[in-house]
Amino acid sequence: MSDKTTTPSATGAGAPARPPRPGHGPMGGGMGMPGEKAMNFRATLARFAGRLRPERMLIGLILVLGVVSVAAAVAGPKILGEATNVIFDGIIGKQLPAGITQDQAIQGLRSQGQDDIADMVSGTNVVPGDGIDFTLLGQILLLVALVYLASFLFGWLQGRLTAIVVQRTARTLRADAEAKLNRLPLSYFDRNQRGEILSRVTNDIDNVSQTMQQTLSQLVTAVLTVIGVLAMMFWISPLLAVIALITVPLSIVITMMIAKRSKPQFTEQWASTGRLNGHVEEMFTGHTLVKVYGHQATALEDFDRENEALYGSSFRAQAISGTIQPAMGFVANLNYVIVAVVGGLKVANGSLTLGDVQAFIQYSRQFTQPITQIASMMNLLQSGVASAERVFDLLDAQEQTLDPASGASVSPVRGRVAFEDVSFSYDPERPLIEHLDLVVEPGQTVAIVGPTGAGKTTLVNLVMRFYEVGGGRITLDGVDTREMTRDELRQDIGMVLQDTWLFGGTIEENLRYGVREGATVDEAAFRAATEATHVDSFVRTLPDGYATELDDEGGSVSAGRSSS
Amino acid sequence: MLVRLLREYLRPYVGAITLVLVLQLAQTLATLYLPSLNADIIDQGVSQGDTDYILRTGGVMLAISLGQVICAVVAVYFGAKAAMSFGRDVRRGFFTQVQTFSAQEVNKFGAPSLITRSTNDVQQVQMVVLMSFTIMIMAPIMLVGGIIMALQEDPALSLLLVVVVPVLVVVVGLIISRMVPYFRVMQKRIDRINQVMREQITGIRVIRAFVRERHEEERFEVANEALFDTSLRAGKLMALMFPTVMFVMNLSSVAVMWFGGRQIDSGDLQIGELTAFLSYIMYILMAVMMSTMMFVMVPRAAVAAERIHEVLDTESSVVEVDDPTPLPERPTGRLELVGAQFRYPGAEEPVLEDIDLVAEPGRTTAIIGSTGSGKTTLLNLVPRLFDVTAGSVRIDGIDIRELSGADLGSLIGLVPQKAFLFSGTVADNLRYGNPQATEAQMWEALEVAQARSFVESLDAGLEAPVSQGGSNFSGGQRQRLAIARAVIRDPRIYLFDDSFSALDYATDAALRAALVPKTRDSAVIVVAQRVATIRSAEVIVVLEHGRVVGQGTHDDLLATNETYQEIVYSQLSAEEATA
Repeated sequence: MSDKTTTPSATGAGAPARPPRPGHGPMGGGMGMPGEKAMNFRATLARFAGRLRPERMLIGLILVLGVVSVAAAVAGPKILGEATNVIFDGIIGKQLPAGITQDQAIQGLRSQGQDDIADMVSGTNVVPGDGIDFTLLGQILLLVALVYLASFLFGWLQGRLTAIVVQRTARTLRADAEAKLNRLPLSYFDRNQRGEILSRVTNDIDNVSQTMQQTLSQLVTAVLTVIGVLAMMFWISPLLAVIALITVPLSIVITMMIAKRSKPQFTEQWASTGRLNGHVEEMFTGHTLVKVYGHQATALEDFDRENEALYGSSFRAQAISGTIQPAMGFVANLNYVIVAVVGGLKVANGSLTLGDVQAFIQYSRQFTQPITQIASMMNLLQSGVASAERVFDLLDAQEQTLDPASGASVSPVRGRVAFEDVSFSYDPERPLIEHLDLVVEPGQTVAIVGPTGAGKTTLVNLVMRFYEVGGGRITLDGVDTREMTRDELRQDIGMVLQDTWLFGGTIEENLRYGVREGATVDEAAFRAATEATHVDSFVRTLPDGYATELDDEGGSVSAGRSSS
Repeated sequence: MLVRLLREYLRPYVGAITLVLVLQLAQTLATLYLPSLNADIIDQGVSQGDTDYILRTGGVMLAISLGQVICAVVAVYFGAKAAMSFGRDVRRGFFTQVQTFSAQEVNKFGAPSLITRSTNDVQQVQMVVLMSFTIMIMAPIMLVGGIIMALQEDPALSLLLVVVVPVLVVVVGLIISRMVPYFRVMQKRIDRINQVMREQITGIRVIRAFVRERHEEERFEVANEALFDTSLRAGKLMALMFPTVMFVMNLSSVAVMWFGGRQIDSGDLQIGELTAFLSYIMYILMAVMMSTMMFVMVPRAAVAAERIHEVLDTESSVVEVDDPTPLPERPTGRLELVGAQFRYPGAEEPVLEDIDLVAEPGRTTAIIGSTGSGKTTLLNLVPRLFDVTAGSVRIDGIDIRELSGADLGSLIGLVPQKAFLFSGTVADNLRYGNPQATEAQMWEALEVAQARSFVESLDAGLEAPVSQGGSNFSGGQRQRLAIARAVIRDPRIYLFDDSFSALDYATDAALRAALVPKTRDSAVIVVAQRVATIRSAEVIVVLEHGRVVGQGTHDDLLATNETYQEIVYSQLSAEEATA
């Protein structure tokens, strides 16, 4: 389904080309097979769990706190039930004459033929004549309040820890994505839209962390509740427990069926988000041209297409996954009726007491509720995993070749650069540079001329190892550049690029950009450099001088100045 | 802001929303009714051993439950439809609004922030809308139902609600009011992440050339750490919300027991009533719990809505006139600047002042001047990327502010300083200049722009792919494609903003020669740094500090104009200059 949403320009990409075409990277072809992706659900989840490893201590603690707060949540109503009993005792006791014992009261009632009431009284701790024991009631209620307070504290702590785990994981994911960018070959950036890559780092990681935040603690609580309740059910009646369990596979099947259908939609939803982000980014960046060339209508048309695709997939994802909750509600009611029928039969033939059936029904209610919750969580997870896949996709993209572990170093650098029988092409079909030999001696200025497109820039790209040679080698002072680390190599080369490009920040920060890590430039050397490139005089005309803020693309300074 | 955004953009879906409301109401009523059937099954079925009754009532229960499922599924369907349509429409409205912006407004927000706002922020609001339609609508219904039943049972005990509800409101309000500022900062921090990363991808060659990967990683780390810090603070506050609400509600059930016990002791209350009252309190509690989920999501959505509205409410500083003057039948492209001034809002000094110049069709007008003299700004006034702050710009005697944007654009072929290409194919980029262009016209334009031979050498020719920004072409190739894009438009006014800088001299000369027949009926305005590019221009305008300091031919200016002499002699020898 994703195929029809590809931009028309992408479908026009028939032939292979110099750096492969945009639109065919992970964003174009990547989401072509949602079915296949769905199978990766578990693999992705497992991999994500692997990323949680460093947090296992905290997660363990979250689990423990979960057990405690579940216990407290279950204990609270139980103790509150005690309070009901105290009140009940008080009511009964008040109706009985004072001064007699409980047994005497029971016998008295029996003698009056009130056997029912006598039975009831025998099950209590009535002190005849006394009303409600407010001291005891107060004590019990205080205890309940304390249990709730504990539940509050543990719940809060658990939430805080969860937030820490979630945010730390998101931070690491972002940092990894960032580090990855620095290891990707330049051809990756030729191939992928900027906004698409950005969407993975912002929108997708944001979605992953929101999903984690919502599922992590609740999933723990729900699973623990299921286990606890199940134990209680088996304790009361193994048969009924087994019957109740019948609905579990049913729930699983329903959840899986729905999730299987919603997952591809979620995958498509986040892929569309990425594409839309890509389009928006490009249009906002090229805003000037879009306006001057009157292309607002076309830009909007393209936007509408992606926007519509995003709408369609997110609507379908939500509509499909939204059916889980009602479906599970139905299963819960089905379970209830079955238990009631079987329980009723057992009461009728006397193999189970009414009280047990009643308790059991209560438990089966408590049992289906967290299962419904788990089912909803599974659904939320589909969306989170779809995003996680996209982040992992980025993290898995093929990297440039590794630097040698201990790079050969040339020091001091003399600066003799030699191309030895170098061949290179961006596209194997179209050789660009073949068997080139060229030596540049230190002190020489070598100008490379040729018609545009002859490969002048390519030569520089090869020296810098932005791209790797296809044949032959390039040496710096006789050392093959591939035997040096890229950093080592580039530290020794000063390059003025065709694209003048400045960073957001002040002018001074941009100028100092060329300085080797850790090295310092004294004020005099700095001034000398700025004067040599005629930067100084114009910077001085700016209101903030060297502290003038530049925007990210040098937009506020004209281009002649940005190459200085 | 959130409410305003919702009101504006949900209006078309009132029908669907009403349906969702009705269905959810039915569904919730069923939820409230089912427990009584449960009780019947126990009281009259199980306890009596009446299997028939159990089966019958169980059947009814399942039937209702099935109806409930259908209601819920249909409600989810329409709820999702309305919510996602809402998101789509907001995104569209947002994008359309940004399109009306001039360069000034785009710079004010910055592209990275506009990008976050158009996807991430909209997503936040959309999720809240969806949650409201599917789950949260039930909360108020249950709340009202629970309160009504509680009041029926025991008005005196219900007084507790008068204490509990305000306490809850205050506590939740306190937490939210502390959370909102964090969310506001958080969205800004996401902007920042977007910005740093976008810069990095854009400047990846520079970064690698200067071996500044580590520096960039540090820069990112700062942004990342900041986002982490804010998200964590918000997350910790959020973690407080749910347990707090639960605690307050639980304490109130304890209070019910205490005060209820006293009432029972004095004979004002039956114990059965107390139990019922407690279960209604439970309903209320559940409703409040649901709303709490909402409260957790709403603050971030509110901030997002605010950020979206900020953009929607921003008026472009370049506004189109309502009743535009039509173009003359055959516009000549005579461009005139009359006393034009441009000043950034709040700036002390204008960038341009008192600019008077005329660019006649069929002639080349060159603008030269030192960097920072305002050349590009002058050019940008013509397509109304900025509007003059005084004076006027006229085409064929009509103030360009009187023209419609489409008409004005149709007259102009701009080749910007940065030869920005769009992702797509070479043909796509040419069609940018003229959507109706035939293949023959494309080749012709490429020929003029001296780009034919290299496009031909590409395997896919016109269909060869172009990366974003054109990064898979060399600088010179990019410039020539950008020129071809303007040429194919056959505009009345050509604006070349230093567009020949990446070309070698031979290509530069060949291109200018090829342009001559194409531009016979057009005014050509060239901004250049290179004297060779402009010396043959009919009129050369010398700009300094935003003012015109000389106008004339190369020879005139060389003889009389000091600024021009300075520029010329910095590039050419005396013999070359006069040759």
